[in-house]
Amino acid sequence: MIKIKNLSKRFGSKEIFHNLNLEFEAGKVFALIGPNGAGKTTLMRMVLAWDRDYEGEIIFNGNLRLGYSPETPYFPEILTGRQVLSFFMEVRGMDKNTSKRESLKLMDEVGLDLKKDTLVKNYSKGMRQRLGVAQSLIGNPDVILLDEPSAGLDFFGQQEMQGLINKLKGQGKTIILNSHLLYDVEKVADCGYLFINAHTFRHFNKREFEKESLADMFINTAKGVNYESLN
Amino acid sequence: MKALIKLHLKENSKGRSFILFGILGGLLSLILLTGGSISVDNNPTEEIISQFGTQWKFLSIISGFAAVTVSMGSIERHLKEKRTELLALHGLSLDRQVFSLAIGNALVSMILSAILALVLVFIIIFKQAPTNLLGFTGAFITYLMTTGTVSLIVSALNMFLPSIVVAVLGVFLVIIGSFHQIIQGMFLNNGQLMGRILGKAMNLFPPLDVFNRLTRSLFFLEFNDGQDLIVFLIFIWSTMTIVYLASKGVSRREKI
Repeated sequence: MIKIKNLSKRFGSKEIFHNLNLEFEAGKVFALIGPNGAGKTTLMRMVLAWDRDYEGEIIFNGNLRLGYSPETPYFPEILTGRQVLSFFMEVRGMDKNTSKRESLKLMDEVGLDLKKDTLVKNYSKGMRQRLGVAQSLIGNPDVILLDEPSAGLDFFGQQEMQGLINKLKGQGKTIILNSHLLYDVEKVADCGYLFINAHTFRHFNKREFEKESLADMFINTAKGVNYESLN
Repeated sequence: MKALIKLHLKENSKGRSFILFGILGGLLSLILLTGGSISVDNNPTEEIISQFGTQWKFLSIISGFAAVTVSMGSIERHLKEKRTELLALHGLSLDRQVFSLAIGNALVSMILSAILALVLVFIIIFKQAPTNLLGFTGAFITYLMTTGTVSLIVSALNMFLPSIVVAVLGVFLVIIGSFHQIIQGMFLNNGQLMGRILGKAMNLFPPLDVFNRLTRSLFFLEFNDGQDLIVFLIFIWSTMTIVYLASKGVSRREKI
């Protein structure tokens, strides 16, 4: 679905990726994990074409529609949750009545139907994250990129977010999930990529992290044990 | 673009500032109403013309300052927010976002100007000013467009300069622009090379006094100088073009 070939990226003297090759297949939940500064968000930004300053190729299979939920969703505080979604729909050129109808559907989809008329400024962190996911679903995207959707959420918030991601997975969406919460990743991901630095990263799948926890995999990879380069 | 303009209007149309401007405009109109009556000796017609002429001039200057306040930082703020990328992902390119905000700023400034002039409208009816509906409408539109133009210039500056610098430049622009012809005349009559250069440089400032003269001539039904109208229309068109090109420049700089 999305192929990344020989991708290299630097920020000044710091090398983020060195000849990175990876692939995101359709209908799966991919997790991107790794320490801060490993390039997970940068990779998302490159897929979204917001960062074009790199060497190599990002190849899309056909005309893919992308959705994105930022780590800290910034929404106009003076609008209600439903109005936020309507706003983005109208930006896309949808008429007022259709956007109202569709935004109600999406609020329902992410479990915010009871809070649809509450101002965003009164939303909790978890509700904002769910609204962020709802926003990423506008336009029925083929691939949804979720940047730290569970960051700052309490246990129940994390559970709700896991439920939501699993629900989207059930609908056949391809999800690229950037997360620091390894327990969270184990609950929803089919596979993923662990980034340590520009030269050290590995692919993992569900079978592997069912045998060895992601935390152990992380530590071992960082030490250079079990290192499996895809380059 | 329409959705973002609507949101910008909603975010910036705060009831408090509207009430404040309504009171400010009311006070200003009442002060000038009483002040004007002693300015011209025993000629009621001259008195009224002087009163309303001064009112339009003062309202225009205060509206200019309001436009600077409304427009001086919103584009800089928008560019710092993560909203730009998300809007781009939903199909609204950065140049169109910035252009929408500039138009939104102009509309908010014009609404504030209209509120500022609210008491003036009552005074016009009460004092039976020497105008008619057509003259008043023409004058009112010109007055609003002048404020809108100031706002557009300030927005264009804010695409490249920080808000504090834009605020100072904006105030400077309104003051110089409101006395454009007097200051330009002073420079050009100076006769020296520097005077001539500064006199020519004055053409870079918006001739707000010419716009104000047009407002007054329309209001007093004395409009007979098409040149002021042409200068006015050319200036609006040029400002819109500059804002459009500046938006494109911002998009190129930010690479979104």
